[in-house]
Amino acid sequence: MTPAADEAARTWWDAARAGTLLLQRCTRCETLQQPPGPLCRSCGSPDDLDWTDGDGHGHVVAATRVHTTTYPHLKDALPYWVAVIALRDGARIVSNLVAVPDDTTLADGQCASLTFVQGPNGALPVFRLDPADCGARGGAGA
Amino acid sequence: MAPVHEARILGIHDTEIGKLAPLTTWDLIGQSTAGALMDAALDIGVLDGILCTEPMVGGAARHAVAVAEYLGLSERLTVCETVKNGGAAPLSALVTAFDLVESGRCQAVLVLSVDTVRTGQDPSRTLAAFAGMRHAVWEQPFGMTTVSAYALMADAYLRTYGLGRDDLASIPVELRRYAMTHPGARHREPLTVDEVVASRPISTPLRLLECPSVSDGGGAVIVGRPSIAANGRVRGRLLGSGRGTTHDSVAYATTLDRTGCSVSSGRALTAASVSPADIDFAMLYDSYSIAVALQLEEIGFCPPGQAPAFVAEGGLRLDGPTPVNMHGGLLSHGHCGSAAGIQHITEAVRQFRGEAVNQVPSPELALLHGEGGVLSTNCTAVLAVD
Repeated sequence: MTPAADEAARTWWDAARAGTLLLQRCTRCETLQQPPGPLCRSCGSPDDLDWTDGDGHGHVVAATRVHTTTYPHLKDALPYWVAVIALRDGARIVSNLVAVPDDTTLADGQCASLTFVQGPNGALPVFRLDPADCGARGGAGA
Repeated sequence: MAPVHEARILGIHDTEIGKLAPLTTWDLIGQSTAGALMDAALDIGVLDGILCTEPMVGGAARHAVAVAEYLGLSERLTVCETVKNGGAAPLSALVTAFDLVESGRCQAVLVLSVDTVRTGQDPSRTLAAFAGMRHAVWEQPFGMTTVSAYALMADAYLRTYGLGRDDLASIPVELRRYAMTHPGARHREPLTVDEVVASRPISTPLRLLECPSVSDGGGAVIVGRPSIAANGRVRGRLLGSGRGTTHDSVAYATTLDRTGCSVSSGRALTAASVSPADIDFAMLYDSYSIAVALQLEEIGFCPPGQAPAFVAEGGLRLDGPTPVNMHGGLLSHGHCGSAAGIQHITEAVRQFRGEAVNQVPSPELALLHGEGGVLSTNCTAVLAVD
């Protein structure tokens, strides 16, 4: 784990590498926050944080197909997708889109759901595009 | 609060921009200091403050203090600080320099910002440095690059306003128009919208010609009391400034629809008691095409979602409502790593002096914006000619 990780990040990544998407929840103000941290960034409480399993469904807020990378170990993976996903649960997460066909034009509000791919350090939580409407509202806003 | 002392920009210097090897960061520090002092017709002994941005290549561990000893100024300095907040650093240092002189802490402050990111190290190390700028825990594991971070902002922007995937292409074209007539610009060949659209994708929707190419270079600015000025070339007074942030990384951003630019520019315009319509020209941090669109809209030079049309209709030109980056900007004049933005300041001073290549007629008010990260650190300054 990188030295930039804190206790919450270690908990989150340990779960992710074992195949579970955890979301940190504040039981005081009911906010889900991603990334997790030492306190609730919404109400400030440090004492009311809990973990919940994310249901893994959401929609694409923004996505980019990366054709040139500054990471030497990802050169062979080009092109790959990086996206911001708004989870139905209420948090947002930066992740990858996988198995995206070459000619894909992402629709506004494109639905996506969680899957895992094996990376060098264990499972990596990523998203694949859903064909069906997931009930997410369109557009990239908010 | 009214300043205790007056402060003005007394001198400026630009280095060349490009591949400057065998010159190093330290050569450019010497050139820029001597050049700015010569421009101000001042002796180095007047300096009692130094604010240095931290170079990506060739800097020292305690950079500003190392610069001070290099210039023989150590003991006489009352303020000697290194500023490190990405692309906002040169402008942020300028604002702090005004604060230091206006408060009486210093009589003359050297703002120094140079880098040799193009030839000063192996390109693979520069690429690794840019990769390291994304969040180590929440972005790097997913391969997010700096261009990708801006590309996510661009994708969200184009979707929010229902714009076309090619609609940002006029931004680099308009900045190139200025660079074509500027002898100091790195990229001076003509550029068309079709060429931008046809350039290879780096991270969709951003293409090669919507991204900067890095260069060596930089410059310096001396802010001091007008009473010590030795010539009549004193121009530029700080009317108001603001800093602001809404996020550092994309991973923590709660929205992609609004950035710290709206916060910092709102504070600066309020402090200066002016509106965007009062501004005669703007120097925006054009690290990518999308950065210009977001800054134009968040500062209030055009309504939300209308930046592409505003630019395509000539909004940034000398005869348009808001001339922007008349030296060609980072995209065409040159992007000097950590020193990107210092030549936005020197260009603004040349405009105030009436000595610019692409001269705005008799400008009185300028707005400068610097941002680092992905509109993460933001600094806005409103300058008056005098």
